[in-house]
Amino acid sequence: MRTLVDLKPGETATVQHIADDELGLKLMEMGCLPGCQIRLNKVAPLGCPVCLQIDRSMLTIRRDAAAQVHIS
Amino acid sequence: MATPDDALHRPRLVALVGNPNTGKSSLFNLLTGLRQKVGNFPGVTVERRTGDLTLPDGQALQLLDLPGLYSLIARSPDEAVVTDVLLDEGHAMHPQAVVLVADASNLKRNLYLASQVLELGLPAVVALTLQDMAERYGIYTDTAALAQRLGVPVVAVNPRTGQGKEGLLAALATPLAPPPRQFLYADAEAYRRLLALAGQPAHKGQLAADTIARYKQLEAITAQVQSQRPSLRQSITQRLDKVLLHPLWGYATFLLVLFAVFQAVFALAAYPMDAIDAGVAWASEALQALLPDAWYTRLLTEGLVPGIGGILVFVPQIAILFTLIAILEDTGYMARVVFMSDKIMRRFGLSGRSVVPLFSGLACAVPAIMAARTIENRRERLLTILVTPFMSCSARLPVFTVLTALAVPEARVWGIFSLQGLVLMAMYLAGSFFALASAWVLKQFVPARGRTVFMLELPWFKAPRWQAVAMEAFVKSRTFVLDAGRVILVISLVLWFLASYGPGQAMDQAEARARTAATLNRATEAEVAAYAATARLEASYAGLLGHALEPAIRPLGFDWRIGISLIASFAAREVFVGTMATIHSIGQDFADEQTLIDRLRQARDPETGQPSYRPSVAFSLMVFYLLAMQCMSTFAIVRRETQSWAWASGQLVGMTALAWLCSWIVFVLLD
Repeated sequence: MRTLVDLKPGETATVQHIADDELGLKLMEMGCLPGCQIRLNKVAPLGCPVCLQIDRSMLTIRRDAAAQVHIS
Repeated sequence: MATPDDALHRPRLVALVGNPNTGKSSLFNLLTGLRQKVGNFPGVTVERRTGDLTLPDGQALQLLDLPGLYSLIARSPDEAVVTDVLLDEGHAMHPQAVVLVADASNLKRNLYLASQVLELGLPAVVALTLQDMAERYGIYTDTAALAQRLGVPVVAVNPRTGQGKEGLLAALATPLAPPPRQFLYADAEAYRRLLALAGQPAHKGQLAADTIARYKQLEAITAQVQSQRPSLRQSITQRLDKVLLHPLWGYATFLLVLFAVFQAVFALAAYPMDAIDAGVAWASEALQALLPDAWYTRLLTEGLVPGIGGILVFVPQIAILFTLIAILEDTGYMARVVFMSDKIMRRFGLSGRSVVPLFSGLACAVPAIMAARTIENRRERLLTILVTPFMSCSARLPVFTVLTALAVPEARVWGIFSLQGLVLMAMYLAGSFFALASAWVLKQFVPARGRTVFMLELPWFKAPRWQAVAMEAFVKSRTFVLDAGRVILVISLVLWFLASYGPGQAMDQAEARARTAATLNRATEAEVAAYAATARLEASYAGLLGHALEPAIRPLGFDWRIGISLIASFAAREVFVGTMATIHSIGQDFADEQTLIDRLRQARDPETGQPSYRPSVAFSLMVFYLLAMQCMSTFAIVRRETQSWAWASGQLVGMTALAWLCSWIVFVLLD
C-alpha cells in the first residue's frame, strides 16, 4: 500500500484512506478527504516535514503523519 | 450575572470568526482602528481583542476578534475559547451575531468553518476577503449567488484598501435573522451537543461522516458560485519558494535575514535609546533642583524616575525587533522558517514553531514566552517556555558591553572584525546553544503526554499590511511595558529602599568615617561625595545582602560589590551598570560607560592586590549574566503561562544553578 511519503515532490495522487483517526479527522477538515487529489508540493530540506497542496492551500505535516495517508 | 437592564445598555457584541491568514485581524483593525482593548479570556491565557465601532445609523457595536481556527472541533486552548464563546449562550462574551471571514481564493475550506458556525443558528454576515488574489489566479466568485445560497448577507471586503467597509457596516446595521437551516442538522441544539462531546473517541466516526458530508455540500456550493478561468500566471509564491525553501539557498537566506534584522535593531534603536537616557537624566536633575531635599525627592529621583527610564530604554529595541518579526510573519516568511527548522528543533524536543519565541527572546523573554502559545504540543511548548530565557535579551547587552570592554583588548582579527564584537557575538551564540542543549536535556525528563498533530499552513506570500504590523508591534511592546514594566518598577523601588536605608545609624556613621578619611587625603569635594555614597551603600541593607551573598559567589571570583549588583539585577539585568557605578564611587559625574570601565580597571582586591575585574572575573560574570534567571518579570510570566509555580521555580533554580556552575568552571580555568 502506497502512502504520501512514497510520492516524489510534484507528484499527485488520490487519497484512499487515512489510517489514524485523530489525524484523519484533522486532515479531512482541512480538505484532504478520501477521493481527493493531493499533490506533494515539497519536502523540507531535511526530509521532514512535507508540504501538501490541497485545493488552493499548502499544508505542512510531519513525515510520520504523511505515512498514515494511503494513496492510489 | 447579566441583568436584563445590562443587556439593554450594553452595545451589541459581534464576533469575527475565520481561518488564520484570511485577513481577519486586518479587518478587525480596519473596523475598530485604535479603539481596541487587549486582554485575556477569564481563566485562560488566550488573548482577547475587543474594539468599539459605531454603525452608520449611530448604533454602538462591540467587536470581538476571536483566534483564527479551521474547525469548531477544538484541539488547542485558543480553539477551545472560540467554541466556548460560540456554543455557550451563558458565556460573558457570547456574541449576538458573527462576521464569518472567508478567503475567496480558498473558499471551500473557509466555508467549512463558516457552515459549522451557521449550524449554531447565530445571525451572521460573510465577509469575503482576498478576492483580488483569487482573481489574479482566475477564480471569480459571484457574491450575490453565494449570499443567496447561504441565506446570509455576503460582502466582499478588502482590509488593505478599506474597500467594502461601508457595505459590511451597512449589513451589520440591518436586523439580522438566524440563518436558514440547510446543512446537516435540523436544530442547533443537536449540533451543539455533538460538538460538546467531540473530544470523546466514540464520536470520531460520526464527526468523520459529518466532515465528508459537509464537504460534499460545500463542493456543490462552490461549484455553483465560483468559476475558474485558466490563468497563465505562475504564482509568485511558487517562484519564491524555489529559493526560500532550497536546501542551500533557503538556509542561507534565513541567516541573511537574521543578520539584517540584528543590524537594523542595533543601528536604529541607538538613537531613541540615547534620547531616552538623556531625558531621564534631565528629569531626575530637574526634579532634584525643584523639590526640597527629602526622602520623597530621593524616592522620585533615585527610585521612580530611573526605574521608569530603565523600562523605557528597552522599548526602542523591543519595538523594532517586534516590528521586523511581525513583517516576517505577515508576509508568510516565518511559516517557511518553521517549515525548514521543524526537524532540527524536534531533535531538541522543540517544534519548528519554537523558532518565533526563541527569536523574539533576543528582544525580551516576556512577550517571547507568550508567543509560545501557538505550539500545539504540550511538551514542545513547555520546553520552549523553559529555555527561551537563555536567549540573550536586550537587557543583557549593556552588561556585556561593559564586561567585554574589561575582558577583551581592543584588537582586530584579520584587520576587519573587532575582537570585542566577536566576543559579543559569541555570547549570543552561547545563549542559543544553551537554549537548545538544555531543551535536549529536559526532553529526556519531561514525559510526552497525549498526541498532537503538527499542522502548519504555508500562506501565500503577500506584501506586509503595515497597519497590522504596527498594531502587532505596538501590542507586544505594550505587553513588555505593562507586564514586565510593572514588575521592574516595583523591584526598582524595593531596591531603592534597600540601597537607601540601613539598620540604625550604620549608614550615617559609615558616611562620616568615609568623609573624614577622604578629607584627610585631600580629596576634592566631588570625590568626597562619591566616597560617602559608596560607604552608605556598603552599610545599607543592600550592602549587607551583598556581604551575606559573598561566600556563595566567592568561588566565581565575585566580591560583595558584585553581590549587590546581582541582587539589583533582579529588577532588570542592565541595572548592573548603574549599581556598579555607585559602588565604585562614580556618583554625580557618571557620564558614560567609559568612565565606569576605566574605574573598574583600576579597582584592586584589598586582600590579594590583584585587579578586582581581571579578565577571568569579567568572563565569569558574563557567563553568569548569560545563564542565570535574573528577571522577575520572566518568572511571573512563566508562572502564568505554565499555570504552575513548580515549573517557574524549577526554571529559576535550574538556570541559576547552571549559571553558577558554568561561571565557576570559567573562573577556575581562566584565573
